[in-house]
Amino acid sequence: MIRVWNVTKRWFIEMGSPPLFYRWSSKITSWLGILAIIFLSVGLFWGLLIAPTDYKQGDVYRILYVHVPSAILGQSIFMFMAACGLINVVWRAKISGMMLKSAAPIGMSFTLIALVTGSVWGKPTWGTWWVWDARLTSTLILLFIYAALIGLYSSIEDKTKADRAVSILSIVGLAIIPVIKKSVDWWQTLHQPSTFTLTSSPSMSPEMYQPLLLCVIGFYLIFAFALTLNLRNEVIDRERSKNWVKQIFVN
Amino acid sequence: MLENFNDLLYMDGNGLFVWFCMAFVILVLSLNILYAIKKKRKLIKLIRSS
Repeated sequence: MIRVWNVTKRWFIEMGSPPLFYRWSSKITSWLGILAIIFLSVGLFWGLLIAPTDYKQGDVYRILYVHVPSAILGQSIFMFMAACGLINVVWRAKISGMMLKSAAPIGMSFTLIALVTGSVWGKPTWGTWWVWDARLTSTLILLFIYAALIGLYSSIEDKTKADRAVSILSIVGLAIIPVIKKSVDWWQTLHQPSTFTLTSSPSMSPEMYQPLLLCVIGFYLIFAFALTLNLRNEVIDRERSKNWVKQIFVN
Repeated sequence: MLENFNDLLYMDGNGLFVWFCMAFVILVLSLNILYAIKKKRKLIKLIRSS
Protein backbone atom coordinates (compact mmCIF):
# COMPACT_ATOMS: atom_id res chain seq x y z
CA MET A 1 0.00 0.00 0.00
CA ILE A 2 2.78 2.41 0.97
CA ARG A 3 4.66 1.46 -2.21
CA VAL A 4 1.57 2.19 -4.38
CA TRP A 5 1.15 5.55 -2.62
CA ASN A 6 4.83 6.41 -3.18
CA VAL A 7 4.71 5.45 -6.87
CA THR A 8 1.50 7.47 -7.39
CA LYS A 9 2.98 10.45 -5.54
CA ARG A 10 6.16 10.31 -7.63
CA TRP A 11 4.10 10.05 -10.84
CA PHE A 12 2.08 13.14 -9.90
CA ILE A 13 5.24 15.08 -9.06
CA GLU A 14 6.81 14.03 -12.36
CA MET A 15 3.70 15.04 -14.31
CA GLY A 16 4.02 18.50 -12.77
CA SER A 17 7.10 18.99 -14.93
CA PRO A 18 6.10 20.30 -18.41
CA PRO A 19 8.78 18.39 -20.42
CA LEU A 20 7.99 15.08 -18.69
CA PHE A 21 4.26 15.61 -19.14
CA TYR A 22 4.76 16.45 -22.83
CA ARG A 23 6.76 13.28 -23.48
CA TRP A 24 4.43 11.04 -21.48
CA SER A 25 1.26 12.47 -23.03
CA SER A 26 2.49 11.83 -26.58
CA LYS A 27 2.15 8.10 -25.83
CA ILE A 28 -1.50 8.26 -24.74
CA THR A 29 -3.09 11.02 -26.86
CA SER A 30 -4.01 8.95 -29.92
CA TRP A 31 -5.20 6.04 -27.74
CA LEU A 32 -7.59 8.38 -25.94
CA GLY A 33 -8.98 9.56 -29.29
CA ILE A 34 -9.42 6.01 -30.60
CA LEU A 35 -11.11 4.79 -27.39
CA ALA A 36 -13.42 7.84 -27.36
CA ILE A 37 -14.54 7.16 -30.94
CA ILE A 38 -15.14 3.45 -30.16
CA PHE A 39 -17.18 4.11 -27.00
CA LEU A 40 -19.20 6.93 -28.56
CA SER A 41 -19.92 5.01 -31.79
CA VAL A 42 -21.08 1.89 -29.93
CA GLY A 43 -23.05 3.90 -27.34
CA LEU A 44 -24.82 6.07 -29.92
CA PHE A 45 -25.47 3.17 -32.32
CA TRP A 46 -26.99 1.18 -29.44
CA GLY A 47 -28.94 4.17 -28.11
CA LEU A 48 -30.29 5.35 -31.45
CA LEU A 49 -30.98 2.04 -33.18
CA ILE A 50 -31.30 -0.79 -30.68
CA ALA A 51 -32.63 0.71 -27.42
CA PRO A 52 -36.43 0.44 -27.11
CA THR A 53 -38.73 3.42 -27.68
CA ASP A 54 -39.93 5.12 -24.50
CA TYR A 55 -43.65 4.50 -23.91
CA LYS A 56 -44.27 8.09 -22.75
CA GLN A 57 -41.90 10.29 -24.76
CA GLY A 58 -41.49 8.15 -27.89
CA ASP A 59 -38.22 8.40 -29.80
CA VAL A 60 -37.42 11.97 -28.74
CA TYR A 61 -36.01 10.56 -25.47
CA ARG A 62 -32.98 9.41 -27.53
CA ILE A 63 -31.63 12.98 -27.18
CA LEU A 64 -30.76 11.83 -23.65
CA TYR A 65 -27.78 9.88 -25.06
CA VAL A 66 -26.00 13.18 -25.73
CA HIS A 67 -27.80 15.51 -23.31
CA VAL A 68 -27.13 13.60 -20.06
CA PRO A 69 -23.40 12.91 -20.73
CA SER A 70 -22.77 16.53 -21.73
CA ALA A 71 -24.56 17.84 -18.62
CA ILE A 72 -22.51 15.47 -16.42
CA LEU A 73 -19.29 16.55 -18.16
CA GLY A 74 -20.13 20.26 -17.89
CA GLN A 75 -20.30 19.90 -14.10
CA SER A 76 -17.46 17.35 -13.72
CA ILE A 77 -15.06 19.54 -15.70
CA PHE A 78 -15.85 22.48 -13.44
CA MET A 79 -15.08 20.35 -10.36
CA PHE A 80 -11.85 19.23 -12.04
CA MET A 81 -10.96 22.88 -12.72
CA ALA A 82 -11.65 23.85 -9.11
CA ALA A 83 -9.32 21.01 -7.98
CA CYS A 84 -6.63 22.31 -10.37
CA GLY A 85 -7.26 25.81 -9.01
CA LEU A 86 -6.76 24.59 -5.45
CA ILE A 87 -3.50 22.84 -6.39
CA ASN A 88 -2.37 26.02 -8.14
CA VAL A 89 -3.17 28.24 -5.16
CA VAL A 90 -1.70 25.90 -2.52
CA TRP A 91 1.33 24.29 -4.24
CA ARG A 92 1.78 26.72 -7.16
CA ALA A 93 2.24 23.80 -9.56
CA LYS A 94 2.75 25.29 -13.02
CA ILE A 95 0.96 22.49 -14.85
CA SER A 96 -2.26 22.90 -12.79
CA GLY A 97 -2.71 26.46 -14.10
CA MET A 98 -2.19 25.19 -17.65
CA MET A 99 -4.74 22.40 -17.04
CA LEU A 100 -7.29 24.89 -15.76
CA LYS A 101 -6.89 27.08 -18.83
CA SER A 102 -7.02 24.08 -21.20
CA ALA A 103 -10.14 22.56 -19.61
CA ALA A 104 -12.27 25.75 -19.59
CA PRO A 105 -13.25 25.88 -23.31
CA ILE A 106 -14.04 22.14 -23.28
CA GLY A 107 -16.24 22.49 -20.18
CA MET A 108 -17.98 25.46 -21.77
CA SER A 109 -18.62 23.42 -24.94
CA PHE A 110 -20.19 20.56 -22.97
CA THR A 111 -22.37 22.97 -20.98
CA LEU A 112 -23.49 24.63 -24.23
CA ILE A 113 -24.32 21.19 -25.69
CA ALA A 114 -26.34 20.34 -22.55
CA LEU A 115 -28.31 23.59 -22.80
CA VAL A 116 -28.98 23.38 -26.56
CA THR A 117 -29.91 19.67 -26.59
CA GLY A 118 -32.04 20.18 -23.45
CA SER A 119 -33.84 23.04 -25.14
CA VAL A 120 -34.47 20.95 -28.27
CA TRP A 121 -35.75 18.11 -26.07
CA GLY A 122 -38.00 20.60 -24.22
CA LYS A 123 -39.92 21.69 -27.33
CA PRO A 124 -41.66 18.35 -28.09
CA THR A 125 -41.95 17.24 -24.43
CA TRP A 126 -42.76 20.46 -22.52
CA GLY A 127 -44.05 22.47 -25.49
CA THR A 128 -41.45 25.21 -25.05
CA TRP A 129 -37.79 25.78 -25.95
CA TRP A 130 -36.93 27.44 -22.64
CA VAL A 131 -38.36 28.10 -19.17
CA TRP A 132 -36.68 30.00 -16.34
CA ASP A 133 -36.64 26.79 -14.37
CA ALA A 134 -34.12 26.22 -11.52
CA ARG A 135 -32.11 23.50 -13.33
CA LEU A 136 -31.98 25.36 -16.65
CA THR A 137 -31.17 28.73 -15.09
CA SER A 138 -28.40 27.33 -12.85
CA THR A 139 -26.85 25.54 -15.86
CA LEU A 140 -26.99 28.81 -17.81
CA ILE A 141 -25.16 30.49 -14.90
CA LEU A 142 -22.51 27.74 -15.14
CA LEU A 143 -22.07 28.60 -18.84
CA PHE A 144 -21.60 32.28 -17.89
CA ILE A 145 -19.03 31.32 -15.23
CA TYR A 146 -17.07 29.36 -17.85
CA ALA A 147 -17.21 32.40 -20.16
CA ALA A 148 -16.07 34.65 -17.28
CA LEU A 149 -13.11 32.32 -16.56
CA ILE A 150 -12.01 32.38 -20.20
CA GLY A 151 -12.52 36.16 -20.39
CA LEU A 152 -10.62 36.77 -17.16
CA TYR A 153 -7.70 34.65 -18.33
CA SER A 154 -7.43 36.53 -21.63
CA SER A 155 -7.62 39.92 -19.93
CA ILE A 156 -4.49 39.38 -17.77
CA GLU A 157 -1.17 39.47 -19.62
CA ASP A 158 1.02 37.90 -16.90
CA LYS A 159 0.24 34.18 -17.13
CA THR A 160 1.15 33.42 -13.50
CA LYS A 161 -1.22 36.15 -12.29
CA ALA A 162 -3.88 34.97 -14.75
CA ASP A 163 -3.53 31.41 -13.43
CA ARG A 164 -3.95 32.64 -9.87
CA ALA A 165 -7.02 34.80 -10.65
CA VAL A 166 -8.72 32.03 -12.65
CA SER A 167 -7.90 29.50 -9.90
CA ILE A 168 -9.63 31.64 -7.27
CA LEU A 169 -12.66 32.24 -9.49
CA SER A 170 -12.98 28.51 -10.23
CA ILE A 171 -12.86 27.66 -6.49
CA VAL A 172 -15.50 30.32 -5.69
CA GLY A 173 -17.59 29.32 -8.72
CA LEU A 174 -17.72 25.73 -7.46
CA ALA A 175 -20.70 26.80 -5.31
CA ILE A 176 -22.91 26.56 -8.41
CA ILE A 177 -22.41 22.77 -8.75
CA PRO A 178 -24.47 21.65 -5.70
CA VAL A 179 -27.12 24.20 -6.71
CA ILE A 180 -27.40 22.60 -10.18
CA LYS A 181 -27.34 19.10 -8.74
CA LYS A 182 -29.96 19.74 -6.07
CA SER A 183 -32.12 22.19 -8.06
CA VAL A 184 -34.59 19.44 -9.00
CA ASP A 185 -35.03 18.54 -5.29
CA TRP A 186 -34.99 22.04 -3.75
CA TRP A 187 -37.40 23.72 -6.18
CA GLN A 188 -40.42 22.63 -8.16
CA THR A 189 -39.12 22.29 -11.68
CA LEU A 190 -40.23 21.03 -15.08
CA HIS A 191 -36.93 19.16 -15.33
CA GLN A 192 -37.03 15.48 -14.45
CA PRO A 193 -34.94 14.17 -11.48
CA SER A 194 -31.30 13.18 -12.07
CA THR A 195 -30.76 10.13 -14.31
CA PHE A 196 -27.51 9.20 -12.53
CA THR A 197 -27.23 9.17 -8.75
CA LEU A 198 -24.60 7.57 -6.56
CA THR A 199 -27.06 6.52 -3.88
CA SER A 200 -29.89 4.85 -5.81
CA SER A 201 -30.29 2.47 -8.71
CA PRO A 202 -31.18 3.98 -12.13
CA SER A 203 -34.82 4.71 -12.85
CA MET A 204 -34.44 3.49 -16.45
CA SER A 205 -34.57 -0.03 -17.85
CA PRO A 206 -31.14 -1.70 -18.44
CA GLU A 207 -31.73 -1.69 -22.24
CA MET A 208 -31.83 2.11 -22.14
CA TYR A 209 -29.32 2.59 -19.33
CA GLN A 210 -26.42 0.50 -20.69
CA PRO A 211 -25.91 2.54 -23.92
CA LEU A 212 -26.15 5.71 -21.82
CA LEU A 213 -23.32 4.45 -19.65
CA LEU A 214 -21.18 3.85 -22.77
CA CYS A 215 -21.94 7.39 -23.99
CA VAL A 216 -20.93 8.85 -20.61
CA ILE A 217 -17.60 6.96 -20.74
CA GLY A 218 -17.16 8.08 -24.38
CA PHE A 219 -17.76 11.73 -23.41
CA TYR A 220 -15.22 11.46 -20.55
CA LEU A 221 -12.70 10.02 -23.04
CA ILE A 222 -13.41 12.83 -25.53
CA PHE A 223 -12.76 15.28 -22.69
CA ALA A 224 -9.48 13.55 -21.80
CA PHE A 225 -8.45 13.58 -25.48
CA ALA A 226 -9.33 17.27 -26.05
CA LEU A 227 -7.73 18.24 -22.71
CA THR A 228 -4.49 16.46 -23.60
CA LEU A 229 -4.38 18.21 -27.00
CA ASN A 230 -5.04 21.65 -25.45
CA LEU A 231 -2.63 21.05 -22.60
CA ARG A 232 0.19 19.97 -24.90
CA ASN A 233 -0.37 23.19 -26.89
CA GLU A 234 -0.35 25.26 -23.71
CA VAL A 235 2.88 23.57 -22.55
CA ILE A 236 4.74 24.29 -25.80
CA ASP A 237 3.31 27.83 -25.95
CA ARG A 238 4.56 28.73 -22.47
CA GLU A 239 7.87 26.87 -22.77
CA ARG A 240 8.67 27.75 -26.38
CA SER A 241 11.86 29.62 -25.47
CA LYS A 242 13.19 26.57 -23.58
CA ASN A 243 15.74 24.22 -25.12
CA TRP A 244 13.66 21.05 -24.76
CA VAL A 245 10.90 22.53 -26.95
CA LYS A 246 13.39 23.69 -29.58
CA GLN A 247 15.03 20.26 -29.55
CA ILE A 248 11.69 18.62 -30.37
CA PHE A 249 10.47 21.01 -33.07
CA VAL A 250 13.53 22.65 -34.61
CA ASN A 251 15.94 19.73 -34.92
CA MET B 1 -35.69 -1.11 -31.66
CA LEU B 2 -36.00 0.83 -34.91
CA GLU B 3 -36.86 -1.57 -37.73
CA ASN B 4 -35.90 0.26 -40.93
CA PHE B 5 -34.12 3.33 -42.29
CA ASN B 6 -37.31 5.45 -42.47
CA ASP B 7 -38.08 4.71 -38.80
CA LEU B 8 -34.56 5.77 -37.91
CA LEU B 9 -34.81 8.97 -39.94
CA TYR B 10 -38.30 10.13 -38.88
CA MET B 11 -38.46 8.69 -35.35
CA ASP B 12 -42.24 9.17 -35.07
CA GLY B 13 -41.98 12.76 -36.27
CA ASN B 14 -39.19 13.62 -33.80
CA GLY B 15 -36.30 12.86 -36.16
CA LEU B 16 -35.56 16.54 -36.77
CA PHE B 17 -35.07 17.17 -33.03
CA VAL B 18 -32.95 14.05 -32.44
CA TRP B 19 -30.74 14.42 -35.53
CA PHE B 20 -30.25 18.15 -34.96
CA CYS B 21 -28.90 17.33 -31.47
CA MET B 22 -26.55 14.63 -32.81
CA ALA B 23 -25.24 16.99 -35.53
CA PHE B 24 -24.77 19.80 -33.00
CA VAL B 25 -22.78 17.54 -30.65
CA ILE B 26 -20.54 16.29 -33.47
CA LEU B 27 -20.02 19.87 -34.72
CA VAL B 28 -19.07 21.32 -31.31
CA LEU B 29 -16.78 18.41 -30.35
CA SER B 30 -15.10 18.42 -33.78
CA LEU B 31 -14.50 22.19 -33.55
CA ASN B 32 -12.76 21.65 -30.18
CA ILE B 33 -10.43 19.03 -31.66
CA LEU B 34 -9.81 20.92 -34.93
CA TYR B 35 -9.03 24.15 -33.06
CA ALA B 36 -6.42 22.31 -30.96
CA ILE B 37 -4.81 20.75 -34.06
CA LYS B 38 -4.78 24.14 -35.86
CA LYS B 39 -3.22 25.84 -32.82
CA LYS B 40 -0.49 23.20 -32.63
CA ARG B 41 0.43 23.80 -36.29
CA LYS B 42 0.54 27.56 -35.65
CA LEU B 43 2.78 27.07 -32.59
CA ILE B 44 5.20 24.77 -34.44
CA LYS B 45 5.47 27.35 -37.24
CA LEU B 46 6.14 30.07 -34.65
CA ILE B 47 8.83 28.04 -32.88
CA ARG B 48 10.59 27.16 -36.15
CA SER B 49 10.59 30.76 -37.35
CA SER B 50 11.99 32.19 -34.11
